[in-house]
Amino acid sequence: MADILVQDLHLSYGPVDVLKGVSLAVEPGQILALLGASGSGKTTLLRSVAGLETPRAGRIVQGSNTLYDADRRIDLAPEARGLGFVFQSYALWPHRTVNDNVAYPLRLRKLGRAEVEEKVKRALGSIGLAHLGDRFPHQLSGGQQQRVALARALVYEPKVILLDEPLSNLDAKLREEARIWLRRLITNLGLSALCVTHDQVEAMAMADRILLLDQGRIAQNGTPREVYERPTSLYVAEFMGAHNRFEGTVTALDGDRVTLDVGGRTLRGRARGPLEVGGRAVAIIRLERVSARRDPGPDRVAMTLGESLFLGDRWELVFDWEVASGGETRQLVRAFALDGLDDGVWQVELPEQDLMVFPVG
Amino acid sequence: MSFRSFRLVTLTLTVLAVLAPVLLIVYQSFLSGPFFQPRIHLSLDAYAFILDDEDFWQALRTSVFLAVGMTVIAVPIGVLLAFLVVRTDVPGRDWLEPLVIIPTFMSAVVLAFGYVIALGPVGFVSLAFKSVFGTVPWYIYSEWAIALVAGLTHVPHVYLYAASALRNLGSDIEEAARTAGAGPWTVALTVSLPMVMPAVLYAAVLVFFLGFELFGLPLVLGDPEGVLVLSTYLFKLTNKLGVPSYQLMAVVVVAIILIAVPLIMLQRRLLRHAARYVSIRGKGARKQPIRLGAWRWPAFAVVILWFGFTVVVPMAGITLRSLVTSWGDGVNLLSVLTLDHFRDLAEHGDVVRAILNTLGVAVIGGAVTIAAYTSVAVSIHRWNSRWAKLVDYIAMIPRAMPGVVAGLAMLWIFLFVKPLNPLRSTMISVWLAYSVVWFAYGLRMISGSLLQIAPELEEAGRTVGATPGQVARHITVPLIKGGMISAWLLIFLIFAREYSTGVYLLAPGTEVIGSLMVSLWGTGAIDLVSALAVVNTVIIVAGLAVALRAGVRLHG
Repeated sequence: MADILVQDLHLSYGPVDVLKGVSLAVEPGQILALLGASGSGKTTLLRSVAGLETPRAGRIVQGSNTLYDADRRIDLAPEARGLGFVFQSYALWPHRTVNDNVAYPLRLRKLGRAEVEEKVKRALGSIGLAHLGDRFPHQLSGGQQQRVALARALVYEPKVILLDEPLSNLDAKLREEARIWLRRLITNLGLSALCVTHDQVEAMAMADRILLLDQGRIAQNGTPREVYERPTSLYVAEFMGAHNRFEGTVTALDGDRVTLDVGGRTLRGRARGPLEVGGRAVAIIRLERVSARRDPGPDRVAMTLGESLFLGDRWELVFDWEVASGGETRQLVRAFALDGLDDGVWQVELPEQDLMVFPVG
Repeated sequence: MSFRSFRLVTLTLTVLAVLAPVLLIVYQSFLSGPFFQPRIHLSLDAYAFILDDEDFWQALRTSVFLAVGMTVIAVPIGVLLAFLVVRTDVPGRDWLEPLVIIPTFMSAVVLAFGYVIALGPVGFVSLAFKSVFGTVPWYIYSEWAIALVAGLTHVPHVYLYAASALRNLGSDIEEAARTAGAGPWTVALTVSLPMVMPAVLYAAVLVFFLGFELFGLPLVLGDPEGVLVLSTYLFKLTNKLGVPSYQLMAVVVVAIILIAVPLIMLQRRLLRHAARYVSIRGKGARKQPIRLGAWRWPAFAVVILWFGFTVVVPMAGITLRSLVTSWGDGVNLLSVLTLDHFRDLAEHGDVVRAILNTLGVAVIGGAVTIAAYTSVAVSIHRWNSRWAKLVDYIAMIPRAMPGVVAGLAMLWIFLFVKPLNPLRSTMISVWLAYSVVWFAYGLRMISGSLLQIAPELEEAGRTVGATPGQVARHITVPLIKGGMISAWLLIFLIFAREYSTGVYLLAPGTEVIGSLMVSLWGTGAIDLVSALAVVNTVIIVAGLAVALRAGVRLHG
């Protein structure tokens, strides 16, 4: 049985449809990332599960417990759902100390004073902040606040935890450490988690599954590798990772092997959707799949190196490819490389199995 | 009690307290006699009488004249002061701001008494002027004088809106004009001023509206020459026929409300418009004040001159008068100095009661009022419902009633509703009238604090298991404690100053300083009145000092 099951959820703000029939399942012990651009409805979906937004239609079930069911007119209040929720801003109560913030859910549950004290101590200890219990939230650093928010959401031992952009308020370096720590904590406690993020790297690093939302609909639902390597739509392909994009016309089809004419030049790739000869198509290739060689060969095209940008851990190479598509006569092709290259003409390899061709229109 | 029933009880009581007086007034206006008389019937006679009364039309004309006059005076001066204090290097700009705001907390009757004592035909200033120049070129008991005084005392209202609009103006907007080649004065006239126009327009309508609410100034300054405005016409109507003519008074009240409602609606629209305008704000970079150069001290003199005329002259007048036995042509000041008037205060039971009642209603009543406003504000806080909007609209109704009207309405309610009769001559009636009159103002202060709370703080409470009631008690209200204390201090100042709301409720046991002064002024007990006015001012200044000490922002 899934820990969280959402079925065909619809939600509108006045005339605006925010969620247009979203379904998902979080299996026990799994972390599901809700990924999407701003305005895709990912936070609204999370808040609907928590009971902070009221959907128009659909069903939300936790284990054997129905949280929301439009047909049966069930809509449990947030406080009756027993979920943990970590807010993007952490939402620590500024008028209470760290101890009191964490103790509040336990006091609401009428636990004895000694038990409250003991559980708070244990919760703060597990996040390494036992010594800061008497501080007020504003006296803590961002990372500490984030951990207190987590402790407050976990102290009453919910089965499911909902996280809204939990790492977005941390600076870049801290974020990378925190996502490892957060994933460990959630898996060690055997929790199921639903985590909203707009950062695809974060989603891939933290989650067992990714659900990519596009304007209130599910664009793709799968493991991080599936979503990254086998995107089912142009939107997903473009959302995940850095890529080159070519627009052209399909000139030949052989099974899933596609030949594409881009401004008089020929590219070969794999079809990722129903294509037809003579139809318009868009080809996507990730930057890390593009490489520059000295010698000509299959899938290699001659291009002039225009710019080399040093990024620290690697170089970003920008090639000028002379094509004649529309008014444009040049197309930029970007690639990653470990070492810089000399100026001049290079044979740039765009491997056929990595060039994903999607129909347009 | 669940949050739902708390909300239901709170809002029912609110709607009753606000609507009942209005409905009673409207009902009364269609009766042939006072509602307590036997054998009365529905009739339009009262309307016919009032509409036929030349005095009513004269009062209406005077009200319009005063409203226009004070707007014309207050708006330019208010904008000028705001510009000087906010955007220039006028000397002392840090302490000029509280100075400019002070008149909003002065009692209008106290100021009016002060003007009579200082600038009246035998006033201190008038006599001094006469001894030098041989003649006094002004006459305080005229419509023009009332308009001038009313205009100058309402400068702070314009100042507050203009100043906050000027502050919110992004410095990048002005800097963009500077880099494009405009000098500081060109920028002020072609960029800054047009940008704050919506706020100024709002303030102008507000002042115009307040012109119709004037009571203390025209009552004191208009009386000798029989200059009447709508509110004083209403007040004098009691004596006009010799019998309680409630139906006629009700008609005048209906007329006042009918004038006020469209003005309030206009203000709401303008406020929304102004807010939209100002929200185009740049980065919070510190603005470089415009250098006035040689004009620094003349600009400073303008502010001080205004303050001197508006506050110092009348306050000095009334203070001086409270310290002398008598005053007139050729009296030597030193020979008439005395503290007797203050000693006399203690010998009048009603005066002592008035002082204690004023302190009680301002301190304790104010606290209860803030608790009540908070209950209402919390009830409609983040409540996405048509009922919440309705309450918001209902809160506007008391604004349409000047204090004297609200006091009258409350008196009638306490007479009309039999179970309330015994409370009529207790301070509860006065407290309730005050709380209803200032409902919109107080509710806005509390709602303003509530809006500062990030919604997640309350949502976090819900997700960890707190009911709406628990969230309100444990999170929402504790978070606005500071705002509530500020609101309490401001309400203290307002309640301590009130005079018009209490005049109809004045009875043994319900005296407050303000209404007692109005009543004593009518009997000519000027010694007592001036001493009482000083006491009133001391209370307000003490409250103001505490509020400033506590860092209260003097405007909502």
